[in-house]
Amino acid sequence: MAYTAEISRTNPSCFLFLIDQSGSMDDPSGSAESQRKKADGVADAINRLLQNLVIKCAKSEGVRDYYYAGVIGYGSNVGPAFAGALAGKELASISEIAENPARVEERTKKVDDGAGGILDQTVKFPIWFDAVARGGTPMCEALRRAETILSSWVSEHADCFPPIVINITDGESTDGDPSSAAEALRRTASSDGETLLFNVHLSSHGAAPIEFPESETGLPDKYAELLFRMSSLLPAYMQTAARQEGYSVSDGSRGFVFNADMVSVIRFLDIGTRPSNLR
Amino acid sequence: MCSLWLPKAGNQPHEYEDAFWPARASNREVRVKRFAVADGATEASFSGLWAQMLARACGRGKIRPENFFAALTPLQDAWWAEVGRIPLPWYAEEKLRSGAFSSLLGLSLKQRRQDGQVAWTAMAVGDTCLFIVRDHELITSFPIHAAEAFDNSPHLISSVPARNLALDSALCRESGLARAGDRFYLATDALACWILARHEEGAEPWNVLDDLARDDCQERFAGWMADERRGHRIRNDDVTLLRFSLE
Repeated sequence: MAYTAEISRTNPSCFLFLIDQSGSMDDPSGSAESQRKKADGVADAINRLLQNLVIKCAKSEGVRDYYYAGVIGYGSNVGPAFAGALAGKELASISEIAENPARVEERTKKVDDGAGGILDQTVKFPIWFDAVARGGTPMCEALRRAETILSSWVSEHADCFPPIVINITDGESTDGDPSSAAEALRRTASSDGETLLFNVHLSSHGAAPIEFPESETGLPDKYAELLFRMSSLLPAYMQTAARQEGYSVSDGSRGFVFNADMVSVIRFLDIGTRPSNLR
Repeated sequence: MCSLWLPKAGNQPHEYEDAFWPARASNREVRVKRFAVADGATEASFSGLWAQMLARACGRGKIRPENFFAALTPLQDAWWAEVGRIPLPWYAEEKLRSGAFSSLLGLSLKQRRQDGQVAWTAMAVGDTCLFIVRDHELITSFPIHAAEAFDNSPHLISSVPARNLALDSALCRESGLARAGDRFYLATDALACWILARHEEGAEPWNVLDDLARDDCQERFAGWMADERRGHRIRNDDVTLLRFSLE
């Protein structure tokens, strides 16, 4: 059965993030409450994903290398997009990523105080990736670059849990139809299954967020429909984890979200017992 | 009493996050005999420490069903004091906010004054299980009754009070009378699931466990476990077994 390989330090898996850095990312996002640029939303999304991946792998003694991860930006050029000490690296171990954010900012978040109230809590927010918005949207080239990186990864980790690619974009590829490049990337496989390609569509369109849909019906534009078709089906174990978190998913649900983040996917990853009261 | 334990394959012994009480068999005469097994959750940090605290407190009679929630408070304070002793990097600090999580199974046996029978009481949160076998029959499987009921997201006891709001409904209790010759097995989830799966197939997993316990030999247990793991008959996880029989 596919997608059942154990993720461990001796059999790590791989995460690759593809980040749209095109000029159109300078436009405001579609979120009703915000006039923030999409590029800032993307930077926050990728930093939050990396932060959650690091925290997931953190244990008392340090960070366990269950994953290797990389960030590929595409805009005026296509290439590794880590800032700071990791600049230029295509993939780094998760412990290396944990130890090398470009900087650590402090932010405020609302938390449950356990007695029915809400508290403001200052939290550390590490930054590995800064907002960039320049040039076109060479999504096909980015997908091909990802295929090259992951072909090499799976040849060295033949039995790993298949790599997961999260592509964050506003949807408008400028170097052609990305469908066939996406299909080739998905076909990059370990013995445990094909690469999972998930897409996050951040749009200036003010439509309501959509998470893990099972059909194109109701998607707001042709770019969303294309990204939906490019996205992998959620494997059975992710469907189970998603249902436990209250998502309505089926065998047809795909790893696609519109104007929403994908931090939930990090929670769906299985590296051991995850208590139901840890949310 | 025999205790057998093993870390997940690929992990070091110091990374083992189950805990059990007592650490070794004792012939000391006591009115109430107590046993406890706890299983710290992999996805949280400092869960091994939390599991040890829970198992020790339960084994010493400080956590009982009737004072369960009040008894957690000093343990939670002690856990935070312990983990806060040294400065931590950003990721460890962030992870700490979620707290540690652990299952807990507590068992106490007490001889009744009125008729000399031995009464047992068990309490559990999570998927660490008690099995009682009389002759060749499984007479108690607590708190889980079927192999298919195990999953990767049990409700566990947290070191953070705000994450224990629904704990009341997760706390299970059971009691009964034991007879001489009854065999007791306390097992963390991977082994408990293996036990129930073999039992459901019509096999008698007790014979295998009794055989391993007779030797009280960690190396032999490790060899057997490696075979079961290689054959995918048991999930790769920390494993703990306490086994004793009533004289």
